Amino acid sequence: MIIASKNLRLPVVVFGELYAACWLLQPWLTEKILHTDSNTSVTALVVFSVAWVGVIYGFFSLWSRGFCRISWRELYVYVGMMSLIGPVGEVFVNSLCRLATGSPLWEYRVLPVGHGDTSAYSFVAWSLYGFYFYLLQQRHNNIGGKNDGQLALRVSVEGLALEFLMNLSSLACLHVLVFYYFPPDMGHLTTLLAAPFYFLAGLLMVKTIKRFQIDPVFFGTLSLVISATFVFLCD
Amino acid sequence: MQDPAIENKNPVSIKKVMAIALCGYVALYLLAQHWQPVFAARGLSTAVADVPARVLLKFSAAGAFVVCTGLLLWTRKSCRLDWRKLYGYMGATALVGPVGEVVFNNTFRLLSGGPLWQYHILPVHRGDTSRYSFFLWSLYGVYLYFLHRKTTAAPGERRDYLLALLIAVDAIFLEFVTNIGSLFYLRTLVFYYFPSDIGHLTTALVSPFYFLGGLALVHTLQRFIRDPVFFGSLGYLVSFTFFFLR
Repeated sequence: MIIASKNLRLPVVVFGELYAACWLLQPWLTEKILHTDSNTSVTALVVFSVAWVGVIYGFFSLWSRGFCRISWRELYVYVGMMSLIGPVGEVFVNSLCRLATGSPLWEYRVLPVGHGDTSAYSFVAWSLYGFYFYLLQQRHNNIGGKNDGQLALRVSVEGLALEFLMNLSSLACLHVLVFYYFPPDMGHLTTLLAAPFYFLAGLLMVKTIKRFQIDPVFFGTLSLVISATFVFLCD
Repeated sequence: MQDPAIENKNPVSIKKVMAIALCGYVALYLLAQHWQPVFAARGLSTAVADVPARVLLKFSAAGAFVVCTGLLLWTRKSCRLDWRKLYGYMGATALVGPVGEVVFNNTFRLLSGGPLWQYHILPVHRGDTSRYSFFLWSLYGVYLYFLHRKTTAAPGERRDYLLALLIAVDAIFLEFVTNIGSLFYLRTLVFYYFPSDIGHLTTALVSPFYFLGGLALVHTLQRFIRDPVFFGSLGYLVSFTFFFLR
């Protein structure tokens, strides 16, 4: 019971904060979402992404009270793994939702591909999340220190919080949502309904990264090639 | 990587298998030159075919039966069947094969202005690959599994390069056989090659791509067989999404 309550503390706190933020921002969000601009320039997206790299690195440096040291090989495999599992998982989960309910759970608004289940920008967005996951793992020293379920829970909850923040920042800076969630429970920026999928994806990510770390350069390259083909070369 | 043929009681040299495949390739080339009108008469065209699912299933079952029986007969006394590794091989080829097809056909498109091949049965992603190739590449994984266990390299030889070279040669042979089979049974080609050197059934131009793809595949297999069930499942998950949902 105590273990369960400890494990549940993080999602409860994070979702509580997100709900509070949505409630406070509701009027602004509604107006902004109504007036989104679908023509986002590539330059603006590059600046936006670089700024996110800075924010993530700055956050972890502040948390660690010093500059984070980066092993490029390790980072490479995290980025590669995320950029592979992310877009593939998005298409898989959104297709399942379409099959089960008749409509998708989300739609990409920036550089969408296919049915909007994923986007050319998701290659970058998931790579950013790989960067975040790598620094988080560095902060906790060793990924083997926690069990897979706990790590997956952490990855999934923080993933939802990050996508909320990414959507919020893109709405403020680029006047567009990167992805639009159809359920309105969190202002269309994210949704609680995505949490179970995120948890399953988190479990897969944790199990995959453990295996990919055996040969980071090979698996990083393989993942990036497959992901780039999946996102950029397929019609 | 441990040579999978070490536990094989009666290994065959990779070079020997390659020599046989090369002879087969020359024979196919000559055959294609003489049988061109026959192929054309069977409905060789650039159009995408609408083959009924039942007919395709029969064709696939017959193909799988012939391939698996042949391989089992070839290796029955010398190799133990490891289902987990077989699954890992199938998952790896089902993942690397179609992705390689899209990458290489796009590279060719970029270099020459047009694609090198086009799938005629259940094409997806501009015809660079096909939903049917999900099955074909899995079957190729079965073939590779047995081939890797049966063949061996001499001491000092780069096994990965030899295997990639072998893939470059035997894939052409296998493609030809697949296309001939489908031309006579389904009255269409599984994939149509634009160059006409081997009667549009395959082409020598694809060999360098097969060599590079083969090298990637061999290195992927080396890593995938360390945990074949996990990697096989990951390969199939990505491949399934790539073919059927994307």
